[in-house]
Amino acid sequence: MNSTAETITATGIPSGKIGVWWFLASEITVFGGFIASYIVVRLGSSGWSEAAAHLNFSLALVNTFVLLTSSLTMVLAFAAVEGGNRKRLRTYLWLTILLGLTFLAIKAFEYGGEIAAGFTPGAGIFWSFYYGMTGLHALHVLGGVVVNLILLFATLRGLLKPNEHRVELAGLYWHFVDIVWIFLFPLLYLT
Amino acid sequence: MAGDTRRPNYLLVWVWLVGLLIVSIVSSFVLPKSAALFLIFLVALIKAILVLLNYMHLKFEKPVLYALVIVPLVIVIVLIFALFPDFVFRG
Repeated sequence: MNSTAETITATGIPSGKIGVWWFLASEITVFGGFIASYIVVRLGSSGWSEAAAHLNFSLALVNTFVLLTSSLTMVLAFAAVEGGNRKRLRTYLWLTILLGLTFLAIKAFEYGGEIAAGFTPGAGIFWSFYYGMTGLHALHVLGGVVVNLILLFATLRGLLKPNEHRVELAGLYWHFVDIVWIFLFPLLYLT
Repeated sequence: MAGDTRRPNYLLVWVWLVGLLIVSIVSSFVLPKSAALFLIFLVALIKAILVLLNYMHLKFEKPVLYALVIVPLVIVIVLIFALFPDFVFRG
């Protein structure tokens, strides 16, 4: 018997979807471990608020808005593929990719300013956590952009069927990356 | 959720997410620090739940998927409490 990502498992859930949720469960422990360590170390140290004051709050706020909006365009891409509307699917995938790239460009610009001011990853424990957490998150955004590009090319070549489950699976990952930022933004920029 | 016609109002969820973002920003400027911290992380939690339930369609899914979210979260919370004594006893 051939098994695909659309094969229904004993749980009643397609194997592709349950596989992505397992992957996201492992990601929760990766980012959760990072965030838990950050909270504990921060509570046990002083001077972190002064270090955090050097971060570029305005750019981070714009980036938060960009990522929240990309989650909307991603879920609208899913709604489009469910409705069999290829044109809308292409538009929303493009928008999600552009917003993801915008997020990365702003983050790179922000890193540039911080490094130029001497706040490198080795400048202190706060900066090590900052670059570690936001860098890992940015790599995840990049991964999401690549997945969405693959889906976009598949759409352009007519390889994506209506009700294509891969858009939903890519969306699950993309929204998870958004949720991680929902916690990183206040932890780093608002405390 | 594929093939399921139940669908949340995605745009309304986005409006809520942006509105809650504004609430957390404003509270960080106007509230005393401890109250602001409480509200900021409460708002972050609400935003995460909004995304999970509506954009990731968890509210339409089977309970087994909830377990895949809750179990690792419990592990993370246990980790925080396991690490806590380290900085408490160091002062």
